Amino acid sequence: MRSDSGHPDNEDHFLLVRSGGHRCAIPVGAAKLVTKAPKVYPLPSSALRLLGLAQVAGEPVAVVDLHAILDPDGCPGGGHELTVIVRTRGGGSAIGLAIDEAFGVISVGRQWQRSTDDPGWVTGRMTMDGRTVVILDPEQLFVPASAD
Amino acid sequence: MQVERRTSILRQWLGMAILTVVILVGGVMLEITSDGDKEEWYIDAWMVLGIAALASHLVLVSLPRVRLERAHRELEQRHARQCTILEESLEEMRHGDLVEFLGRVDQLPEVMSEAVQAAAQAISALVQQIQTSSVEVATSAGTVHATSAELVEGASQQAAAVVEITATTEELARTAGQIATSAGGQAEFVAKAQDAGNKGAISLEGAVQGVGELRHGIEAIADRADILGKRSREIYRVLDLITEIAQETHILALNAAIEASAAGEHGDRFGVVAEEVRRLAERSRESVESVRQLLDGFSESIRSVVVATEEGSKSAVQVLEQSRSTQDAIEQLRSALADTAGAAREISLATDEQRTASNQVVLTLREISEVIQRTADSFQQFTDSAERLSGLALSIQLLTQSFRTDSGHSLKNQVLGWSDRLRDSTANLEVVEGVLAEVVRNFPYIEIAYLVDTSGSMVAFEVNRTVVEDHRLKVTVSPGQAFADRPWFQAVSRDQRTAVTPPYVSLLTDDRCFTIAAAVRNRSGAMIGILGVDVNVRSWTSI
Repeated sequence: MRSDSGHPDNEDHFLLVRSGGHRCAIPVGAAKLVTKAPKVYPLPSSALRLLGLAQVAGEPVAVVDLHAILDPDGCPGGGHELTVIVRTRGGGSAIGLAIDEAFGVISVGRQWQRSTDDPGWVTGRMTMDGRTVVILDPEQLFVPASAD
Repeated sequence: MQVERRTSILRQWLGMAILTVVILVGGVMLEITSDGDKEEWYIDAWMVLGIAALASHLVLVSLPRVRLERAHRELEQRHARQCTILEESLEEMRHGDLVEFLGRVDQLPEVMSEAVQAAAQAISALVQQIQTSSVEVATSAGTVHATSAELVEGASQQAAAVVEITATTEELARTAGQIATSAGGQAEFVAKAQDAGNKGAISLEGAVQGVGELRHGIEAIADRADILGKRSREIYRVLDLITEIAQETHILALNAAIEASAAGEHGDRFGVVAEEVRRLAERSRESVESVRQLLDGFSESIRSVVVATEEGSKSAVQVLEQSRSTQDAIEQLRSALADTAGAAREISLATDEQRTASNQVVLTLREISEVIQRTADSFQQFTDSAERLSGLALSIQLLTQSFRTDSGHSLKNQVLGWSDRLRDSTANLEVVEGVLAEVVRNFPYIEIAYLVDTSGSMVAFEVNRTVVEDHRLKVTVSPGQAFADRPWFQAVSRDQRTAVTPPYVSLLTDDRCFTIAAAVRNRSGAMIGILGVDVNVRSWTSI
């Protein structure tokens, strides 16, 4: 976790967040806004990972439980203190990722590794301060099922 | 007799008087006569008169005297026979055989016989009456003996009880003295306790006031603690506000960092500032957290203080209530102590009086004990007298039994009757044993009936099984056993008369008994054996 004054090209910038016991890195380019958890209106018959709809800066935003994505077999997360609003590159609708904590923007070299078992929305994994950090790809995270 | 004697005397004096008259008349006539012829005539007349006087003397005096002397001799002979009969009769009476006595006095003159028979019958009746009376005396003596023995025992128990009561009363007096002393000491202790109670009441009053002030202090502390709690809650609200601001600042810093990163090189400086802001927010949040932790400790302390003050207040209230209760209790205790002191003084006085009364009771009981002891001694003397009287009655009965009367109560008469039945049967052992068995069966007070020969050897005997135990019989009596040294045998052999021995202890029963023994004679009157019966005194007197 750093914030250098320089901006070298071989480094990528991520927003380091925590959801449950998982630490994730969201590309800064995809992160639009970090906000306190808005009031979420649950949707009927929605998937477990979709917490509901919320209104952020006058726009409707679908809020997704990041912990449910990272650990679908585990217990659902409960904190959800913050919500990270991400937007796909295509200018699609904004998606809210409910997280527990946001540590800040970090700049890291491209030394992460990707396993073949990782799903498509995982760009890679790296180790930071002895902990594994999962680098997310928001574009892949919200690809419709038919596109797979 | 008196008429004959007077006639004899008159005749003797008549002869002498005629002779005297003849002599005096002849002398006077010779004196006054001077004529010889008349003198001769006078002499012849005097001679005729003399002869007539002699003849009359012979007829009137000498012949009656001879007849009187003959009659006197006959009378003396008859008198001697009567004396002999009387002597023999009295000899029988001397041995107590009134039956034989009455048989002999029949030979006396009718008047004498009737008088003597009447006297003998009176003696017999007297003997029977004495016997009956002695039985009653013996019975009464036995009753008196038993009663007096019970009285002696009762008096002894009474004396023992009185001694025990005396000891108890003495102990009571000592205890009363101890109680009086203790009550006196208790009164002193109570007085001291009253003083202590008064001091305690004063101290407790001060303590109650102190507890009240303490309660007020605790309530003031509780109020201050409540104020502090309110202040700390306000601080919490401020901290929450600071935390919220820090969080908002943190989010703003994050968004600024995101925007700075998105701005590329142009946003680097802004990113640095955003990062510093974020760190500042982070530090603020950490500081707030530290303050919150400190405030939590402070609040916990305040809550503890509040709890402690509440508990202290409650305790103070309880202590105050308890102190007031204690004050009431001390007041009651003081009242009770006053009552106790009064009661102790009364107890002391009462126990003093009780001790005095107990001492008087002890003196009275000692006198009673002495009286009872004297009474017991008197009763003992009474018992001894009754025992002696019983023995005396028994002796009288035995004395009456020394008389043979024509009565069923006369053992001598009974034994002589049985001996008569054996007169011709001493050689027939079956008859002898039958008679002895009948005797024992019909007279349950007889321990044993037996027949010995003239040498004192046991011929036959029959034991009363209801009186004598079997095991004693085997060791003490057996046929052929010599009884010649026994007093009853020697007495009968010597006097040829029925004998009654003094009481002695029976070898068969260990009871007192006496023996009546009578001679068994044949038809010629010769003694051929001795029949004896041992009479058990206890059974005899009870019957």
